[in-house]
Amino acid sequence: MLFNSFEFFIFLPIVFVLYWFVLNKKLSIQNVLLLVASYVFYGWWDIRFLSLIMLSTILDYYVGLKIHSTEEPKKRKHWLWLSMGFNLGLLGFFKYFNFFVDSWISAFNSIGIEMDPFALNIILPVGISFYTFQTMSYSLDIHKRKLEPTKNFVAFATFVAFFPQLVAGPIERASNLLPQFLQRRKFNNKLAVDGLRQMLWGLFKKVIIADNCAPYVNDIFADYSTQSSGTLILGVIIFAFQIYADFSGYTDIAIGTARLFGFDFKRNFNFPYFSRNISEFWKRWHISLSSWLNDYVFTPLAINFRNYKKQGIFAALFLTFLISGLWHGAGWTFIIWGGLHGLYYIPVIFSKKRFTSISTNKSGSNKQEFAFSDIPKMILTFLMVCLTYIFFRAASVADALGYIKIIFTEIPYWPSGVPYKSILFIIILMTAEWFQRGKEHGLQFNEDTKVPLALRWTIYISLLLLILVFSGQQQQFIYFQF
Amino acid sequence: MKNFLKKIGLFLIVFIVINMIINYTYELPAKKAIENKIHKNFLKWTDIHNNKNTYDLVTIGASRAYTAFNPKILDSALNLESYNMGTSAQDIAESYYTLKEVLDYQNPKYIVLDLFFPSSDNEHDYYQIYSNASFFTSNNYKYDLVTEGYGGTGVANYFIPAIKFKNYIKQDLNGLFSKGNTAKQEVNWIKGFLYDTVTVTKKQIDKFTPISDFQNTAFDEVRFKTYFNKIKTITKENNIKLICVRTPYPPSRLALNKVDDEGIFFKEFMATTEIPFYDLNSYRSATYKYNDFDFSDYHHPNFRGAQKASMQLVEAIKKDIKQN
Repeated sequence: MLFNSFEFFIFLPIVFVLYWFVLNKKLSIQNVLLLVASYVFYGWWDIRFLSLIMLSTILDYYVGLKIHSTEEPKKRKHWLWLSMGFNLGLLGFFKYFNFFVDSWISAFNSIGIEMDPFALNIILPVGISFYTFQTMSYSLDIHKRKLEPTKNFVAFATFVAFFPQLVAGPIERASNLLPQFLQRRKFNNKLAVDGLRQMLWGLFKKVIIADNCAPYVNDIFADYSTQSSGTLILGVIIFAFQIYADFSGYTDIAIGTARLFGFDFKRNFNFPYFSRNISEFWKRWHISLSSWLNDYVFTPLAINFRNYKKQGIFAALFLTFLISGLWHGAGWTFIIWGGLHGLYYIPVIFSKKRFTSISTNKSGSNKQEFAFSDIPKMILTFLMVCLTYIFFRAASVADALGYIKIIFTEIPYWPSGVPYKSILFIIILMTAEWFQRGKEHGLQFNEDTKVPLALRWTIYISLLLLILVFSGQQQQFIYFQF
Repeated sequence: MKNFLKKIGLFLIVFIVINMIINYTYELPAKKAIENKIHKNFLKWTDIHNNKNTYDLVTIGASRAYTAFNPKILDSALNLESYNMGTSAQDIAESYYTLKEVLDYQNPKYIVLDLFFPSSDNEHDYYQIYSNASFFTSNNYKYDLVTEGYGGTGVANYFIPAIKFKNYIKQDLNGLFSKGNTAKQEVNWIKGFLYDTVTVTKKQIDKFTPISDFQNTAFDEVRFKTYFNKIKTITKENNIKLICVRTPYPPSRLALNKVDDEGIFFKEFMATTEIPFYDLNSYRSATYKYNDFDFSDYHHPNFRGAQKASMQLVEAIKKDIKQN
C-alpha cells in the first residue's frame, strides 16, 4: 500500500478509530491490531513476501532470547551468526543473487573463459533492506549487552513490521522503538496534530515535488546522449530534489503516521542540502542508515584498523560507504556512488582543519546558525553530492560516465524543456525549509512560533489543494526498490 | 482527543465547503449548456436514447474519433444510418460502458473503435469521463465504471471536485499568467461528429512533439487488453461486427518518432485477434494522403482530414462486406 494512495486514506482512519476507540482497553490488543494492520499494509503489495517478515521475526525473537540466556561467549556468537546469516542470506538471495552471478560471469568472460549468462527471475521484496537491518540491530545490541530481549512476541513482531516504517524506514533501533510497544500509549494531542502537519508536508514533497520532477528526470536519463550539457546539469539537479523530496517525504509521512498512534520515531532527515561539507551532509541525510552503519560497520572496522591511524580510519570509512552503496542497490553504479562519497572524506580525515559539524539538541533541531559565508560551501557540497547522483540514477556505469563526459566536454547552453513549475515548487520547499531549519520539519509550528491561526489554516488548506490539483502522475517511492 | 477530533472535523468542513465552491464553479457552465440544450454529451445521448434501434454503425473513442468520422459521408456511401459516439478524453473502460449503454437502446451492425495509446494510459480526465457517464440511464454502468473502471482513484475523483477538476483549475491558473484570449469557435455537430473548420497554424506545427510511444506515455497494456477483450466479447455476443481503426496524425508529427510504437503495437496485437484493424495513417495511402493542414491541431482531423478518414473507413467496411 502506498502512502499516497486512495487505499491508505481509507486504511489509516479505520486503524486509528479501532486503535483509540474500540480496542483501547488493553495494550496487548492494541499491539495485535497494529500487527495485523501492518501485515495488511504489507500484504497489499504482495502477500507471499509476508512469510519472509514472519520468518525473520520468529528467528530474531528466538535468537535474542537465546543470546541473552547464555553467558558463554562462543554460544552467544553462534546464535548471533545464525541471525546474521539468515538476514544477510535473505538479502543476498533476493537482492544480490543476480548481481553477483552476473559480475562473476563477466569477470570470467573478461579473462577469456566463456560462461553462459544465468539469472533467476527473483522479485525483490519491498522493504527487505529496511526490516532486515532493523532485526539485525536487535540481535547485535543484545549480543553487545546494550539491550535486553523482550519476551513479548507480539510487541517484537509489531516492532519489526510496524507499518509506517516497514517498507522504507526510518530504520528504528529496538532501544528506541521496542519500549514504546511495551508501555501504554496515551493520546497526545500536540504530537498527533504535529504528526498530521508532518504528513501533509511529506505529501507535498512527494506528490508535488518528487512526482512532478520524475518525468523530466526520467526523460533526460533515458536519452542522455542526445541532450545538451546544460540540460544534463539541470537534469541531475532536479533529480537531487526529486530523490530528497521523495525519500524525506516518505519519512515525514511515516513519522507523522506513527505520531497519530502515540509513537515517536527518530529523525531521519535534517535539511541535508544546507550542509557545508560532506561530513555534515551524512549527519543530515538518511540519519537512521548512517547511524546504523556507523555503529555496526564503521566503528568495528575502525577499531580493527586502529593501528593504521588516519589511513585505517579512511579504509574503514571507505569500506562503510561501499557497503552503503551496495545496500542501496545491487549494481556497480551504487557501489561507485558509495565509493565517491568515501573519497569525499579524504580532505575531512587528512586535513588538519576541523570541519564544522552540526550540533543537535534533543529534538534534533539545529543550534547552529548559518553565516553568509556558508552559502558557497553549501553550494559546493550540493554540487559534489549531485555528481554522485549521476551514478545513483544512471542505468549503468557506462551511461553515468557518458553523462559526465557530456557535462564536462560540452558548452553548457541554456537547458531545453526547463520544468519551471517544478522549479517553482522546489523554491517553495527550500524557502520553507530555510525558515524552518531550526524545526523538525517544514510545517512545524511550535508554541513559540507566532504564526496566527488563520494563516496556519490557510497554509494547510492551500497545501492540501496544491497536492490535489498539482499532483504529478503517481510514482512509487524511489527507496521502495532498496 | 476531543480537541483533536474537533480540529479534524472543522478542517473537513472547510475542505468540503471549498470543494463545493469548486464544484459549483466548474459544473455551472455544463449545467447551463444542458438547460440550453447545447451540451455535446447531452445532445449525443438524447439522440441515442430517443431514436431507438436507428443506428447501424456507431463509432466509439475519444475526441480523435468524433473529429474523424463524419456520419453524413458514411451514411451516403454505405447506405446506412451511423452515429458518432466519440466523447472527449474517452478511455478504453469508458468506451466499454458507453457501448453497453448504447446497446441498451440501439441494435447496430457495426461498431468502430478508435485506438490510441492515451486512451489506455493511467492518466484520465475524470471530469470528461464522468460528464459522459452522467448521461447513462443505467446506474449499474455508472457504478461499475467508477469502481471497476478506475478503482480507488476513480472514487476519489468522483467525490472530490478539487481532484476531478484539477486539469481545468490548472488551465485557469495558467490562463492568469498567459496573455491573449482564444477566439470563440462556432461548433457544428453532425450526428455526434464535430465538423471542425479550424486549421493548424505553422507556429503550432513547429511546436509539434512526437506522438504517444512507450517512452512518453504510460500505456497500460493490461488495462487495454482487459477492456478490449470485453468490447470484443460484447460485440460478438450481440452479433456485431467490430472494426478497429487508428485515426491519422499530422505527418510531420508522426515523422518525429524514431519508432512508431503505437502503430506497431496495435498492428501486432490486432493480428492476434480476429478483428479487422485499419491504421488510417497508412491505409490506402496512395489515394488518401494526409498533410498537416488536414488537422485542426496536433492530433484532431479537421473537416478536410475527416473527409479522408471517413472515406477510408467506407472503403474498409466495403472491403469487409465483400469478403463476407
